[in-house]
Amino acid sequence: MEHVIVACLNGLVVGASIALVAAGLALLFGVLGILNFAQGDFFMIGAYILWLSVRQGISFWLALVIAVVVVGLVGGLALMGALWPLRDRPQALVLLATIGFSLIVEQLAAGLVGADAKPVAAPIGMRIAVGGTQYPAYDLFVVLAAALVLAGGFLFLKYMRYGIWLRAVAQNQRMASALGLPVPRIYAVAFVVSAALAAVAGSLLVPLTGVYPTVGLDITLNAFIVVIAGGLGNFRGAALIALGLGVAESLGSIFIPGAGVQVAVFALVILLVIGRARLRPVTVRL
Amino acid sequence: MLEIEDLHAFYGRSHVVQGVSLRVEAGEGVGLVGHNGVGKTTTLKAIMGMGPRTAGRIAFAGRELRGPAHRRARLGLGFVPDAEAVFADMTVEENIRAAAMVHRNGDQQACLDAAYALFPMLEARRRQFAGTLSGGEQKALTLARGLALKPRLILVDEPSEGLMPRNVDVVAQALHKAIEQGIGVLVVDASFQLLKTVCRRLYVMKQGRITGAYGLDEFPTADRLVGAYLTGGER
Repeated sequence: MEHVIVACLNGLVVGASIALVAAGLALLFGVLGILNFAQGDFFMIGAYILWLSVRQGISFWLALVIAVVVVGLVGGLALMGALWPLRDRPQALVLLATIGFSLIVEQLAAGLVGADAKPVAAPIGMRIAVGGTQYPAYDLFVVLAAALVLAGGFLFLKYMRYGIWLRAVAQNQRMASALGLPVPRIYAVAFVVSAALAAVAGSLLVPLTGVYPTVGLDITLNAFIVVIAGGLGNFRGAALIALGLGVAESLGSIFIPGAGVQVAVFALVILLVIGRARLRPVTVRL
Repeated sequence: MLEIEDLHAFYGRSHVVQGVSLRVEAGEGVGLVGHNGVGKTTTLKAIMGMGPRTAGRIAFAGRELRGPAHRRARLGLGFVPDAEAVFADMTVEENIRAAAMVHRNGDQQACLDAAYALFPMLEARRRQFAGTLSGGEQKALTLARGLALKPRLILVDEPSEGLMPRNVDVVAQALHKAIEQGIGVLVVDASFQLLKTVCRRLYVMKQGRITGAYGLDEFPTADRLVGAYLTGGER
């Protein structure tokens, strides 16, 4: 029983971070139709900035804010700058550009700070008694923080000016433009928010995983699965499926040995995609 | 308010609009009529900066109009397209607010109230997704949304197309009211009922050119207008 509870909690932690990355992917795809293969790098840079800041003696919490703001603004806008000239070109070109962007960033990171994993201590050392075991309080905090950020993102899309405009641009960009909505600025907001979401996940997870150049790889792969399964561009669907996926994988690994879990998950995703293939094209939805 | 001189518009190699000149004053309703495919919609899109390559002069409120559509819209130029224009996965209210929010300090509730006063059928459905509305309701919503931008002049494409006569009246009254508030209206439409409520003058377009400008009082009956220049004209 104990290890089932622990597996569930572990799954929630993983699922929450996948959800953050996936929400960013869904946003960018929904608004701009861009499948961003550099999303994992925003995750990784966020982690590195946190590690660097903490090493400079900055408190963990402030470092977290720095990481998110820097990745959101610098990373998001840099990617937008790279993709902007391609906005009227075939999608495949844009896709390749995000892969190129990703490779450059990864190599830079490996060259600058080395490929070995760097640890950062969790800012909350406490453990909480859950179902007969002691579970690290920080891990639970990660879940809570992710939930709050996602709820914030949902409220942003639902009620805020740029949130409503993001959805409008996603659904009919030409019409949005004809109504005076500042399309380039709305693009920029999508890029910044999307990158910042990945950075939140990346920096929150540092105390659990450490930092290394490919730290974002696994989670991004999972995030892509989630976004595809949830319906590309579906913000809430992506978040919910991410949590489900995290828990399912974690629980499954108790009962199914080795890579069996991954195989089962992929099989499930393929079924979902086939089921969705007949649905209408997607835009950013809540 | 809007002055167009020798406007040409192209889609690829096809020369759709071939030297159109026209004028719309503030608080004036002007109609643009003609057969299908003569370039009426393309003219509107060219004015709005939405697609076709253009040449010629478009002056709006004393300034040359150029740049992307959203800049033109912010100068006070509204656009109501003929089809597939609502944000389908957003509610009726969100559709209107998206436009109203362009004015940073605008009173959004006042915008919504004004829209619902013009189109009571929208208020009943304000929390419904726009994609679930009937064709007529979607037409009303596009018009309400266009007006929520508080334009100084609005370009309206086929507002009565596919509407029941009773709803044509609702739309015509909404445009008439906009004109009374000093908004200029350039409307492409084929309904005599709508044109006579909204417009004071008419331009007739044939094969990319304006072939005549008339006062609406020159057409006492629908038959005269339709017979001469609209659907029955060249049969």
